[in-house]
Amino acid sequence: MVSLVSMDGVITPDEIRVLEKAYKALGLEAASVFGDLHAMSPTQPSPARKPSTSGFHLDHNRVRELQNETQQVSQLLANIFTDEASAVAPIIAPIEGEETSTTRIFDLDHEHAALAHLLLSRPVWNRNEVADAAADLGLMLDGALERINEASFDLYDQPLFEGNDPLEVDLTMIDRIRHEPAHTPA
Amino acid sequence: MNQPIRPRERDSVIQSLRAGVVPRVGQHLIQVGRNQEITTLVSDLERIADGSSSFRLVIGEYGAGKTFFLNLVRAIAMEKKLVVVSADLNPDRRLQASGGQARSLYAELMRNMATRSKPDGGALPAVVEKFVANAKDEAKQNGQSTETLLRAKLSELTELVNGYDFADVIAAYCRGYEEGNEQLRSDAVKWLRGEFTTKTDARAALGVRSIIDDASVYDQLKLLGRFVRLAGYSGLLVGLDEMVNLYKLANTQARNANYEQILRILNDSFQGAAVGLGFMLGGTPEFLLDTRRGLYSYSALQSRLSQNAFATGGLVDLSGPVIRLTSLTQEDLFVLLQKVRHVFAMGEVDRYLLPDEGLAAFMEHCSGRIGDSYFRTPRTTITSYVNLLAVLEQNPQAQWRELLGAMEIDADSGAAADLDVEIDDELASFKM
Repeated sequence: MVSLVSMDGVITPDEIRVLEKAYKALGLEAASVFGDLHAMSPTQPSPARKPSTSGFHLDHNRVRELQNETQQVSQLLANIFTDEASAVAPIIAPIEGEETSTTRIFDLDHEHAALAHLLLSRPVWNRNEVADAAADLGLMLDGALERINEASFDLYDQPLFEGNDPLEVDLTMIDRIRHEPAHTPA
Repeated sequence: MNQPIRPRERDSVIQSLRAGVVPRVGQHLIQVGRNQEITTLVSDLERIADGSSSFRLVIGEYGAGKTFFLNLVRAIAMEKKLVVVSADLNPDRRLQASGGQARSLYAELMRNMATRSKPDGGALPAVVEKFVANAKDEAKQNGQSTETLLRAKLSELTELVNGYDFADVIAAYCRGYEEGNEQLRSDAVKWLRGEFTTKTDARAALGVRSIIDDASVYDQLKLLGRFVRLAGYSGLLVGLDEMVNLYKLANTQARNANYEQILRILNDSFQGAAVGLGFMLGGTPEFLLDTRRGLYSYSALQSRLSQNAFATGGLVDLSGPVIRLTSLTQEDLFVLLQKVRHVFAMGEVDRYLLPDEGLAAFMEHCSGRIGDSYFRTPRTTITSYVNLLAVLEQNPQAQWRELLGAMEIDADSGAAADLDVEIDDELASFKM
């Protein structure tokens, strides 16, 4: 009955009303109309799928189809979550003419790079400590942290730190910054 | 299945599934199928990033994976540099109200504001500071005062409702920073979060005449959509789940007022009246289709939604605003179990704790125990599956057949004995 109504591909509110009445007349739960309508798969306009109450059976063709589709979707998502390759080559490069201890990270400006450097010197920071350091550098804490992590994401698809208070720094980033100067796409 | 799996994502996925909740990160690792639905939403996100708008209803029955889907789209949005705000509706959080429930929804959205670098929420100050910091940098380069530049940048917002006051509040935040006035900064954030409840208080604290109240929630979101773009993000995605709470409203007038708001959002989106703003609403089939209480009960929405809600000629039509998530099938669940096994093993095939036959046996076991619901509402199925994997991992000497068999003893079904025999036959040569 539900498939009849959706045959033309359009289900109008009037049709739904008729269905509700018909379900009631047949002693069916009127509320199940919505679930049944919803279950009408647009790719299989023929009668609604039969729930396999009679034991367990896997449709192996369907499993293969799904695996293929899943493979495609994984690829699509992998491309999204491991970003397009970034062409920024020099990750750590001494800033010429300035004190040699300050290196540039992620192409950030001097102040943000200094803060990122400081963060990388310890695994865990209290928010207050970082706030003090940011203030000394003339940076607004939250905005600066946002910028640092964004830059980290842009180049390495992962944040430099996580958490709010305390901040937990991913020290493996030091190695990545040293040894993976160019971003490698998946 | 050759995606790299990060330990953090793996742990998050496994822990969440074990606790019976939807993971907040790493959803993409266990996505099964739904290629078209995801592609559609990804193109929506790209439209938002291009300064356009989008509106989608994500409709699915309990257990179909609405929340999972919404969370996945959130994660994709953050990856695409959108700011994401999300909230579940409940009796005290609605789109439209007169007793503070809409403002309360807005406040919840703001608390949950997330960006790629702050995926767990609380990103509002970071977003504001990013805007202010950019303005300060630019002002320094141009030799202007920060406030002048800030005002110039925000001038495009002043044509919108609350736009002037919004600019004032951002300027107050900046002043608070420059003068070391913590109170002023936190008052500014409080205003932006919609946490001022009276105009008098807001005026005393910030000198502004308005607050974000029930009536201005949607306008404020439109304003934010523009603001985050000024701050350097690509746009704003608003995710609202549990829309069925509007359906449950007993008062017809209140319900219709909320549906009217949805209509307004939908119309704005179709007409391109909102900039860089997308809405994604999750609800059940009743919420959409019920002609007495659902969206179909509101005739203007009916006509806009019914045409496209179902595809014609056996084709999926995803150009309409409704994305329909069908309930999982056994085959979906089977592939999902494979994915979870893959994530559990950090993507290393040698470390798989169960062979495919084991997955099927597990499903058959569940089917015998709880019937069809084991794949339609798979929450408990997945939890016990992850528990099984965890036991196998920690006890390398354990045989999954025995574990399943041990579970069988609890169940008093006659089919259990048959099951045992079948598995033994099939897997006599299986090694861990």
